[in-house]
Amino acid sequence: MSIIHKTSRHTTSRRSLLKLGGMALAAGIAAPHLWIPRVGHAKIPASKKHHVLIYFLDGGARSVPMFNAGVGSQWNPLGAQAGSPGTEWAVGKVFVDDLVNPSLLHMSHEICVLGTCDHTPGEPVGVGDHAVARNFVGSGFPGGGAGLLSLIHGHHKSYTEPSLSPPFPPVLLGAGDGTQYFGVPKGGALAPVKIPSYSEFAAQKGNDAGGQPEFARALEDGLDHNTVAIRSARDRFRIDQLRNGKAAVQTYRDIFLDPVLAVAGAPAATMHGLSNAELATMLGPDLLSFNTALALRFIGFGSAAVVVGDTGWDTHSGESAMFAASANRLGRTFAGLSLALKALKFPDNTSYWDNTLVLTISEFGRDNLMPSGYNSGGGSDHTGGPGSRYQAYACFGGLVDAAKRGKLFGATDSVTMEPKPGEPVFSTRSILAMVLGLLDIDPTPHFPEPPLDILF
Amino acid sequence: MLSILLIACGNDVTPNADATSDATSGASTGPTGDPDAGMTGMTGMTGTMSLPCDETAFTNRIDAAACPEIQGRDAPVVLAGKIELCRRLHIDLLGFSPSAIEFEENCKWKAPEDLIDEFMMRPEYVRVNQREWADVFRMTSALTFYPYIADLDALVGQLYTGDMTIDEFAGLAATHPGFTGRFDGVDLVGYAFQAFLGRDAIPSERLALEPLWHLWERRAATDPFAAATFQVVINTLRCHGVDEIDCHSDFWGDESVVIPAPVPDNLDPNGPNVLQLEQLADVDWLKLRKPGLLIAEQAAFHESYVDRRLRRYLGYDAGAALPTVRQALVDLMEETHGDPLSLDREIVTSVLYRMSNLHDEPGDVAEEDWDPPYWHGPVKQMDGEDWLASAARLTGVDIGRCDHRYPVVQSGASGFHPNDYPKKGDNSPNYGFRDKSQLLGGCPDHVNTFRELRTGLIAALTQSTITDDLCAAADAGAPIFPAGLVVDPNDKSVETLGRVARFIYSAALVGEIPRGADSALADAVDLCRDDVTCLPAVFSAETCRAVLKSADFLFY
Repeated sequence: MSIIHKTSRHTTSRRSLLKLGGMALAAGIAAPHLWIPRVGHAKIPASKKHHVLIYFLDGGARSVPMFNAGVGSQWNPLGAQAGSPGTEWAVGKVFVDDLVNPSLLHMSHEICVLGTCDHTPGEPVGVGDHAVARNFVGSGFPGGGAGLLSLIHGHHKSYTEPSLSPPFPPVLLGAGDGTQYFGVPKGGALAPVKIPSYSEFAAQKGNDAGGQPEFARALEDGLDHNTVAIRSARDRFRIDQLRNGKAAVQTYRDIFLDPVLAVAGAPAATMHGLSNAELATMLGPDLLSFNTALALRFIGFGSAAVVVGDTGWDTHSGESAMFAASANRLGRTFAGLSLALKALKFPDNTSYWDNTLVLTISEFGRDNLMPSGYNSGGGSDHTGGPGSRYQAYACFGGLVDAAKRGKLFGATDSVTMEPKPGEPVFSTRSILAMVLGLLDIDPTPHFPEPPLDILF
Repeated sequence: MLSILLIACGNDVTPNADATSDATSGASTGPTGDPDAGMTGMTGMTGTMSLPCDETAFTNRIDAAACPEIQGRDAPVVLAGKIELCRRLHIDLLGFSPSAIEFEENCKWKAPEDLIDEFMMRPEYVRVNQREWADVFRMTSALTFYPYIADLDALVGQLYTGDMTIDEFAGLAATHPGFTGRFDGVDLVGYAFQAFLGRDAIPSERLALEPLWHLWERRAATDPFAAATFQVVINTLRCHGVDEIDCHSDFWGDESVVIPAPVPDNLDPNGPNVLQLEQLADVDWLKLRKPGLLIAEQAAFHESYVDRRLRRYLGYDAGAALPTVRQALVDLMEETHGDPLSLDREIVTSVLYRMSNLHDEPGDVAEEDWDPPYWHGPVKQMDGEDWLASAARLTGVDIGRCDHRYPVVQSGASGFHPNDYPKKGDNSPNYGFRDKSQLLGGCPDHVNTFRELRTGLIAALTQSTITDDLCAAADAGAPIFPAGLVVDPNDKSVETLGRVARFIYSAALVGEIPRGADSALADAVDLCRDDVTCLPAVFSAETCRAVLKSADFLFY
């Protein structure tokens, strides 16, 4: 394994940050209780203090060459390589150890891979259509419904119980089409805060973070209320999204005034033990990293869950260069995130690592591949066949049982990409249920299947 | 003054006698002194009908097709007042919200049909549609040679000046270098489907049809105005000899798109068998355009365009909700060989479009029991660009605009390529408008961001910032000039503050403050009078912001 070197841009060395992360991990003591669902026997460490950070790989990521790389070259033309000691899943050779940035190759033993994530277990075919697949990953159902973040916003105890200083809502970070499915409001499910990207968030300074004299607020609210009152129920619902946004500006104004949210613009601003400069050192300088840093800050302000959308994965043609760049951006972010989660500490002295599950999700994988590993256009498609159907989701964080880290659950046949005999298949809906359970929200009213508990 | 027309199921066309503000509904009213602000004469019905939904009684085929689902279900039809319709037409056809003066000049005394015809002749109408197609084709000179884009954009312009049909356009656009220079491989099939057939191609379609585009190739190039760019060529070697099969598709009939190699024995990948576009003869172009011609023959082609235009003007999926309306418009497209202007005119003169969007519906209804959207007029959210342009026009602040063709202008040794952005002192593009608009989902870069309508916390923060700047910088000649409304800097009388608020609202939304918001206005005035920091100038500026950010202004 290579040594992680410090960069010249920041004063904190990666080595010292690595140590910091390790100490935080050692000091962290998690005390979740076991959540017992009404249906099934899942054991989920449930707590309203937990957090979930989801990376949604928008467009349909070719997850197999990254996280289930030990399959035939048709499915993974890039090969596999050894990960860090303790890694049992096949690490994709696509990941590069660049000696400068934290690399996934140094922390692959922390990752647990679910290798057979499927929207339609037991059905004859999988899903190859973007809209249907996004409905599945966002809401759990092919026809769509309340998005996962909206369910969390509507039912998480931190948001439903009265509080003098309400925690920050769940956040949807990303402007990609598919990412939006996690934030669909419906019924009692409330839309999360939606932020297109860190750069756009930083660009709008909010002149006094949306400050407004009381008289002006009264007038504007009265106008909006009247507009809503004289429209149809369907239109009221849409216009209310605007009103909710304005209300949230007032509610969370103090948070928006906090310089720590300027993750790239205020390097000295510090929260929960790490300055923005230190975060940048760990995570790197690209947009995904800034989005990740912002996600961590929102978690620091109480967000129960954040979805970070990452685009560029729908590689029907010209895949090789794009895929390698996307995969390494993701891998480097994970490596930096592992450091950051261990170093960041909540006021109760538990680390973010102890309380957080990081999870990758995509709408489907890729298939329609020739023996070369690509389609005729040098890319890959998504027909719902085994190659696109059985996705490999990567999971890590202190909430994943230590004995499960570094392992693959749900092995696939290297030739057919079908699950090997006797191997489990994981319903993506049960994964959404798991997220609710982990946050101490009873998933039973929302999902018919019991939550997945194999990670715990 | 307001006149509301009721079209009863059957034969009655009844103007509403109430010509004043509706106190209970809060409906915006006609302009001062307008004896009849309603849309009389635009019912879409002629003569006396003996039967409900008798097709012979309608002049608009949408009205005939939709009647069984509206009048046929006893849903009252209430047409929009002049102000509501004027605003809708301005935003939809021209891309901005009208000021009170523009209402007086454009809408007050004109029959809606005349207004629609006039608007559809204006360059702004062409421009808003070019913008829409720029989104469809994901135009950006960061990936496509800028002259290709300019040419494709000009073709779109011809669509909306009546110089080209959508059938002809598809035949050209699907293999225009502005398209083949943006996408490659099987993506060409996928994006052609999305542009013209309303859906992505499934993998088998992508593979089966790619041969029709197989000759096209992108090559790295340089230009005095784009140092790093790609130009497209026709590489005849890709279909040469044994590879000819790669350019044959039997998906839509047996079709080959093959241009013989001029020098058959020369296999140099950069040699004479790679043709520049300038080298192509008319007969070559005839072959190359085969995919677009085939697309235009597909059953879903007109249907897809009809659905898109219905969504654009009505704000909901009317094609799916009212299949008979879709079919009526597909028939129109067949009859006119795809005339986009006839289609647009049919939609915006229809009752579906012209109904008032005020709608009385109980608040505690389950979603599955909501009234269908076609029982009232469309409610749409202004596009981020349109909102920003409207707010800037009303405050008299020139913040430029973005060039839908070129989200990021490229440059080379001779400087920046031609573009429509305002210029800085060094002739570089001024992206001020673009950058603000992008925060609201407008001016997308077509690579990582795509047009969207944003609401929520961040959109609210962004609008707060923008209105703060605009209302502070308002020009003395602007429709809204907050500073100019303050005569006595210490006069905080109820009458003065009320007058200021009413003036600003009226300047932005033409009508008076709805009666349903009267109490809010009274509260605001009281709160200001009780607040020592609320001077009249502050009240005026903050009212400007509140009105421009209001749902009344953003939704139309």
